[in-house]
Amino acid sequence: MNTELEPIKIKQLLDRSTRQMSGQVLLSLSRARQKALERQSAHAPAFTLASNGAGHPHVNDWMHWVLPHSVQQMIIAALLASVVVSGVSYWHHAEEQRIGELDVAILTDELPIEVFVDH
Amino acid sequence: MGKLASHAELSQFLGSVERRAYKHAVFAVRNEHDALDIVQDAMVKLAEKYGSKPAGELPLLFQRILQNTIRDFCRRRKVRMAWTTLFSSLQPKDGEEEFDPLDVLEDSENQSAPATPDESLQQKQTIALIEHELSNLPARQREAFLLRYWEGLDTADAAKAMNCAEGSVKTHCSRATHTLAAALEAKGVKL
Repeated sequence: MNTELEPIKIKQLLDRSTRQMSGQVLLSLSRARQKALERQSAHAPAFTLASNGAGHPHVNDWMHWVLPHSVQQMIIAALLASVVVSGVSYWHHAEEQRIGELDVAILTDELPIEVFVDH
Repeated sequence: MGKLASHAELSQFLGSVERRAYKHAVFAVRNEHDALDIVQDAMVKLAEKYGSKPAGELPLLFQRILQNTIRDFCRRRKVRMAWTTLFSSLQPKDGEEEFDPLDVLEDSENQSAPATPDESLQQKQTIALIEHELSNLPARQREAFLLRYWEGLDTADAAKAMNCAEGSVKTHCSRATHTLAAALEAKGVKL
């Protein structure tokens, strides 16, 4: 039995067969490639940090979670930030008001009984 | 860590590998449309999940994805076949015949045949015969043979792509080579 098959010859013939494919198949393969490349663009990060690969390769991994990737995400982040800021300023204002009332009460010697009770 | 693959590098890589990938799929599933779907799935998976990997890692990743996609397709088809066998067996056969490369292989010893075929035709016949025999190989043997000798992967990379031990790759390759050699010799083809 002939077991001295040379794989290199099979490779050459198979390579030749890939050059004899029909135009329809080649067109379909080209379309498939374009579709795949579109997907790569769709999944690519919106922007990359300048420190990319400069000694801290893992920085980008978590920074991409922190940094917004699209306009919608940026709007949502801005809304959240404004809610937090207004909440903090309201709490700060209420606290100032409470301290002011307490100061007035101390000056007029009209402290409420709760002030003298141990909690 | 190597340089990340750019859009152009990924495009160039896919362009260089798509024809062979298609042939891999055709050998495995024996259907051109299914093979095109498989190649497209594999390309999309590569671009979506590993499109930003270094360009040097793409060949092995793609082969791994392609082989897994082919295997998944074959599993799904097997399940489908199990359900449809019962119904199809009740219907009369349509008389469709399988392609037999012997039908197109010229017999040089047969004097009634036309004169010596030209080189191009002979090559086409040989290629058709080899492709037919590759399709007939057991799936793992075919994978190992094509990855090692056509894609040019070394044993370690072929083992990674096939998700098996290096020893298994060597065994599959050896068996595939013997089977192909025997099949070609039986058909009177000498390379």
